[in-house]
Amino acid sequence: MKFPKGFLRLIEVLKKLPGIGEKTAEKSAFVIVKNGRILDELITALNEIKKLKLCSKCNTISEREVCEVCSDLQREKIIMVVESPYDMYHIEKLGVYNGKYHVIGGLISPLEGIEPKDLFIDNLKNRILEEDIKEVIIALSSSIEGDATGYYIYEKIKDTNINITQIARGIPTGYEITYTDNITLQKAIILRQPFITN
Amino acid sequence: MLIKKLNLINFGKFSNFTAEFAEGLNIIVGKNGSGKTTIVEALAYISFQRSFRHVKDEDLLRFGEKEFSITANISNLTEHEIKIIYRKENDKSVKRVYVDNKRQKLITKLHKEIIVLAFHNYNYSIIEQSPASRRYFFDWFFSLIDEEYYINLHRYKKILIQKNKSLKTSKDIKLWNSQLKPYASYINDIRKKYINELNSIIPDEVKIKYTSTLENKTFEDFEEIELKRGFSIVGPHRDMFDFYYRGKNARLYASDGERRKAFFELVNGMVKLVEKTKNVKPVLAFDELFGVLDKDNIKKFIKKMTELDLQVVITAHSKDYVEEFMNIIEIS
Repeated sequence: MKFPKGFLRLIEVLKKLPGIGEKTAEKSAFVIVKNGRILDELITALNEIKKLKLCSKCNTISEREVCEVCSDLQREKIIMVVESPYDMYHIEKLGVYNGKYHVIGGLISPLEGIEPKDLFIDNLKNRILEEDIKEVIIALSSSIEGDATGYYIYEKIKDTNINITQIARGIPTGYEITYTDNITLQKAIILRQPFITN
Repeated sequence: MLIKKLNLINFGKFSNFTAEFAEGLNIIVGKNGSGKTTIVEALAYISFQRSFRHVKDEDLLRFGEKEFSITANISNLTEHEIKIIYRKENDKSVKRVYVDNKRQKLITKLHKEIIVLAFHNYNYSIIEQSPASRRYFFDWFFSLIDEEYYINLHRYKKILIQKNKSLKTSKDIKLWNSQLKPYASYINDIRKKYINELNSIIPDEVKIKYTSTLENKTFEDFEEIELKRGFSIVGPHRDMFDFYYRGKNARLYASDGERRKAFFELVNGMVKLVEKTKNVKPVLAFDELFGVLDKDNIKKFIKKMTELDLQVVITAHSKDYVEEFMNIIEIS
């Protein structure tokens, strides 16, 4: 027996999403077809998503031209550079940071064909000047591509003479020193900090 | 250190194979294609957790199988069972290492326990092989005794792939060189250190010379020419290791006999360096060694190996060279 074409196409589309393999895609597709309510909800949700755009300042996903965070006048004059809106959401949820963001939309990787010009890096310098930014925090993944992208950004904005920092690297909370790999342990020792008492 | 027992499941040509090894000299006797090399491969795999001949993990699977395991009972200060399981699932693969049934979080930590120096056909003529194969050889050895070297080399190679791709597309050479730099200088330093140590161990008539492509130069010096050519021409992946015999380049001027002598001095040096840096006696494994030695030299070699007071595993076609004190493992 062959499945109808539209159904197969749905499976193929679902498979393109991260974390969804053949089996999960099939199961999900069956549920969507069987359950009319979920189908309607999906259609409504997808239509709404189509209306979303990227914030003209920080490039995160937003309903308006300028996103909620960028329009918030209470935010400190700091920009945290992140890879994706998802990372931004993750950090925002913590509630410890009250500055602005800049979403670059990926990491430089010639292998995957991602060049600096494909990322939102060029307008960062303008933002620093226009918004009178005092510090840029680089918060990118600790991978080869993350390190390279961080370095690229640093080179691009270092002549603004503002404070450029990066998030700390070291031993994860609750982790044992014995199990920490040598490179992480070395960085943790070199980048040690004053003892925190609270 | 001693390997007492080895069990292979779906590894190489074996579906289920067990061998027991003794202290001192072990000789595996079997016809062509009986799986002698596979056993040496497995012994090396326990210590390196990957092929010492640069064979891909999935190509070590028995034909048509999806999972292999290597189990070894070793005796160091105490007895241990080491088990490595590799499984291929669609486009993913998983490798797990257990020591005494406990899963190891960091595979490389195993290096502290067990060092197998395994040599195959290609290695015996390492002195006259290509510069790349000598580089492979030393990178394998240094990785085996120094996990940090392995990690740095691995990162270096990953960045290098990005750089080479970039040289053909976006040409961000400065960016990728900046990322390569710390790893390159680490690799250079460690290579210098270990080659110096090897040279201080082996007799004066044999010397290894390490030439870094970055000696008194920087990546920047080559940027223009690399951009023009479209691939990288400088860095640890282009460095040279050469052997000298009595002051002359052994590749060009040494006789076969002298080269062989230099090779065994190298092996001897490697053993001593393992003992010094890891504080453990390595196990030696030689695949098809008797093919390259004549009768006289085989006798000499066997005498030398017994003097080293190590566990040694050798493979051979026939029982011609078997002597009383050897433990024979026959496979068919």
